[in-house]
Amino acid sequence: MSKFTQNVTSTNSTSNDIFTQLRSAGLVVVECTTMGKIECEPERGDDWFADLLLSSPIVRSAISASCRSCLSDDICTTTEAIPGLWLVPTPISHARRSSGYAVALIVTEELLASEYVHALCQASNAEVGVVRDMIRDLPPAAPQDIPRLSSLFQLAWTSHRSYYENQGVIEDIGRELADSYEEINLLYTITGSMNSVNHPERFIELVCDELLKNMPYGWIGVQLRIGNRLPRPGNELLHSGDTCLDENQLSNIVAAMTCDISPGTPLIAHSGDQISQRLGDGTIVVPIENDGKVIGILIAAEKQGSDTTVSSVDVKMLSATASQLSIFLENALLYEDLNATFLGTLEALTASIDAKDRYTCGHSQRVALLTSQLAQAIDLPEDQVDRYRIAGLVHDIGKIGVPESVLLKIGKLTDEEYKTVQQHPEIGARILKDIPQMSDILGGVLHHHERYDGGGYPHGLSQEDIPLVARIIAIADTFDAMSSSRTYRKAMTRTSVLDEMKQSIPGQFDPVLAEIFFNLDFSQWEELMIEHQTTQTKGRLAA
Amino acid sequence: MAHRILVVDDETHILQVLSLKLRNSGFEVSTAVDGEDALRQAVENPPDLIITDIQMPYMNGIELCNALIENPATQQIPVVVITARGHTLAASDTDIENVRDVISKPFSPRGVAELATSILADISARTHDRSEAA
Repeated sequence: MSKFTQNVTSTNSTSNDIFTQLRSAGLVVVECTTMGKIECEPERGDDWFADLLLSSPIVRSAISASCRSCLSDDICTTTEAIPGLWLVPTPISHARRSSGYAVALIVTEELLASEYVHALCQASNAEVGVVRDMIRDLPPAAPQDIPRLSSLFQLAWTSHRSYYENQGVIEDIGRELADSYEEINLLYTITGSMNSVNHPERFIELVCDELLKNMPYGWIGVQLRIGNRLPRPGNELLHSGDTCLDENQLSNIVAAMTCDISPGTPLIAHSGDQISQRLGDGTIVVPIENDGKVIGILIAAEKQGSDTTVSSVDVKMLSATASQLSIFLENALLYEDLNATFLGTLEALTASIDAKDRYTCGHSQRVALLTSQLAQAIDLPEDQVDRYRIAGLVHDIGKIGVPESVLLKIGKLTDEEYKTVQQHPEIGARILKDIPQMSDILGGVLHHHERYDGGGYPHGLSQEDIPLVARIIAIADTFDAMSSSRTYRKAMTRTSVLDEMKQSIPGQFDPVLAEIFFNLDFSQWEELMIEHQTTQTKGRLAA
Repeated sequence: MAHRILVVDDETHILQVLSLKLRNSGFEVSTAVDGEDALRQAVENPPDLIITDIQMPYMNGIELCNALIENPATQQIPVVVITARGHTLAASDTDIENVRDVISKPFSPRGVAELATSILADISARTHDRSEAA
């Protein structure tokens, strides 16, 4: 099998096959530049026939001359270079420009009788007699076959070229298709996770992780400009991948960029400009927009590899992701606003109930705090802790239905009055039962006065039959009530409250929960207590 | 020697994209256009891994997996199946001994190449352990 020192198009085996196939049909093929310089020819030593022809300076210069005349005449003509050696040139084009000629060498019987056979043999140090025998054995072509052979060569060559070019096109399309697949897959993954509106930071981290898998960058991050409208991420930079900058430096650089960028235009760092100095050549910054305003940026920085040219696929992928992020953030902000309004309304409502009685000022807020702290201490999931906080906040909402004359009465309550007060858990549950968002915490409101030994109200439930949220609120409620002044007694010190509560276990409280409660850190609760006492004093003075 | 992977799908573009990615990851790749074609090739010259679509004419991916198990020459070949997202497929459908993983379309070609690498590395490691033990 003949080998080639160099192959103009590539070292692809398909390309070599055409040379082998043509050679087995008796044709030696070389490739030349448009000026006739031979650039690709069979390797020496593998093929005596190719060696014989191509060792000869006469043949080589005839090949060159043939190419040059093709160029000047703008047409390829088959010529007999020396008696019995025909040259069939055909153009090689690349991107609609001629880049050279392929020339087939065909030998006919006439070469045997020609004087030139001596020159050929001399050039390749071969004996004339042996060479003549070998040529006879080929056998050489008949002169009348030359037009047919040259047409077949040109046809084979052109088909081979177009096959080869088409292979290249298919490869290119395949590559682009693979990129599109990655992009579609990325967008699928992202849209699939868009429902996690109450954890925007998790979604943003997922987006950065996915992008980083697809793009050759050191890190990919999101910086928002939305104040604290989302508790996390707020205004902090979230990123995937490691950076060589320290976090502080990075935050400053990124925060500055967030202010510089304008809507609709991605920034691409070019050598020497400000972004490239800070985050490296090839860095891409894409604005995240909402309603025509920039609410943040998506950054791919510290491009990996030696090539710092930015790929249009990467810019497209980032821009598409930025649009998804903007839709997600809009939803997350709406959700957050809705949630804030909901919580704010609840807080206002419960505060207004607490305010009826100056002794219970801030009670609901403090019970909410203790409830969430105890829920956290027993390792409930974050979402659950939030729900328990709300349950703690609204646990006394039923007091709205208890007459003020009873609630504010100084001195001991009559049995009748006590019964009225005892109705507040049921009244509370009735008020909330039609709000679908409250269904999971109704138990906390209805049962926060049940006792662990079954002696509480309204249903006399005991132990594990009392919902967990109610068992937690019961402890928090008692602790806060005993720590505050009441119409009928002064506030007790924390130590005496805890001592007294300890004695009430096991009858009143879930012993396991109570033990954990006693070890809580009460500093936040104390702060709230002081804050509420100050408000209360101010209120009294104003009155 | 490079591992050989047989990719089976009646959609040319999937074959093209997967062959390209897998070749770039250093694998030798052959392709088949349906389950029948794949089974014939696998029996003649068993590959190290088969990646196959499920919905195909003549013999679908599930039938192919079962047919591979029935033939002693091909029962050891691990298979990764690709399903169209949203296409209803019960978990039990792909609960076949030789199915190593199930991928949904649209998939990440890079992800598939990574999966193939890890499955084949795992097998090589185990074969190596076995020969060490022997």
